[in-house]
Amino acid sequence: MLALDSGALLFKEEKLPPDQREQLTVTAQGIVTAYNKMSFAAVGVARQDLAAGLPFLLAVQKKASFPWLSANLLSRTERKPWFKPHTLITAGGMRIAVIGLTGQGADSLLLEKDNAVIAPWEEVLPKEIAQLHDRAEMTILLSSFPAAINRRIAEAHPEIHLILQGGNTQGNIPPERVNNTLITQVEAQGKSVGILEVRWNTQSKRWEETGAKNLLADKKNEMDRLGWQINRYRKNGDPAQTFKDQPQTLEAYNDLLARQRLLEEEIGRLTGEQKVREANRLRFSSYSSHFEPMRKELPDNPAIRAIVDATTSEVNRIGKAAAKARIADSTGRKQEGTSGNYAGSTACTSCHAPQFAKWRGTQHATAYDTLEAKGQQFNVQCLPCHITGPASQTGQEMLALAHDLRQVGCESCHGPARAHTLQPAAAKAGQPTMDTCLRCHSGEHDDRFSFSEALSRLRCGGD
Amino acid sequence: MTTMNKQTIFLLFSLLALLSITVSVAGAAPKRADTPKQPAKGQQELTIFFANDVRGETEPCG
Repeated sequence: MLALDSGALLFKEEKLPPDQREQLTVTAQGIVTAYNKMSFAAVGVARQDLAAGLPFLLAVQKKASFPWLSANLLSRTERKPWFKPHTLITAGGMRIAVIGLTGQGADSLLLEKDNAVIAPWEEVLPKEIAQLHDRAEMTILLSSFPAAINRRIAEAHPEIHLILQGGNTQGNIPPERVNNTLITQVEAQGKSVGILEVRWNTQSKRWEETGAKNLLADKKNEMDRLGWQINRYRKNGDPAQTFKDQPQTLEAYNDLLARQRLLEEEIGRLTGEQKVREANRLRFSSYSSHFEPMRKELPDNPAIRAIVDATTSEVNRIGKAAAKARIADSTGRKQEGTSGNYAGSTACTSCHAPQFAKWRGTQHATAYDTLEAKGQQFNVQCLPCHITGPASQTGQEMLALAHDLRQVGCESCHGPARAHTLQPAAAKAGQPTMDTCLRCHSGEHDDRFSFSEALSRLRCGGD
Repeated sequence: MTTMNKQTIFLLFSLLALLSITVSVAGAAPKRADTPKQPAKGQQELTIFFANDVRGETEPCG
């Protein structure tokens, strides 16, 4: 058994908001601790993994019991890799080489002082493959390049037998064969795990042809249809006699006969090839694959549970300390944070009591409470969708938010209303659009969300 | 501003649970009464688990 990860493990974006860096790096370290426990064999370095800087990832590598792999993240001066370019693993009774490739993108990811550059795959991959020649029975590539690039890699290098791609496109992608390479991807955010059962022929090192079997079946189906058409012409006897005065009809019949002869030859050839394949079946490799959803019903592993609990606790401890520091700011600012143009839901009750009461009965009104129940109310990764305020709020502002702006309040749907409370007629409150909701109820977070259903259920009603 | 997946499955211990289940099943195989099928000469069998893009989330928010 082999557990691999194609990368983008530690961070969501290529840049970290400065006021969230501490919480995010603590989370990253917790992930690595858990992966150590889960005995991952190797993880690819994707661009997102460098969001906290190259020195951070190098420090994380020292604490990881698995190698981070990248053959093309090189020092600018010496052109030597910062991480292991590949690792050799013994699993399933054979030697397996696993290579890592980091996807290219904006140069601003790496700082000048990092002395690092992400080299083109064309520059490094042939050398890696040459080095691994005869050292492994199977070669796997962990790639955070886009799918189109991975296809080009597969077309150029049949010595790579499997590409696990990630960090870019969304969704599960079943294995697709390109040349002698299977390319596959499991969906993001750990919603599924990919499972590939491989029966690998260490001598041929080639995947079984599955397309040819389908082609033979198609040709046989075509032959059946052709036979039916030809028999219609023959219904009243020899067509050469029946249609002797209808040259066009006779020509069409003869075309069908010619097509039938060609098909017979093709089917004969494909059948012969099929027999050879069947005889040599064991010479080739095969696989089966599926994606296992990570359902909530799966039992917790106590050791991992402990790691996650400790990480969550530390993240929230940091957030709580930051909140206290901001509230106790000695510069004389108001103790609790306000969000500029936001008034807080309580300000709405004097004129909109029935609407306020309706809102109190919805889950929006207890969104912050659900964080508190899980000890996550100081996690700036969670707060944006559980409070009221602009999307531009910093982590610091969210942590020190006024009490009345906790929960998903009136202004989450209707926009900032401080001006409206001062001049109700002149400054009307807004109405929610689909984009208002999709800020949090995106497909990634709520794949069953329906704007029309939510609107009809949550609408507070007019004045 | 980043957003949080409220329905994010708890990958880490779920994944380990799945791996643990698989390993224990594999370990139990020799106890079965039927003879395990041997791979043909030159053929090896391997199960690869692959994950992608945990992206800094360890626990559902709410």
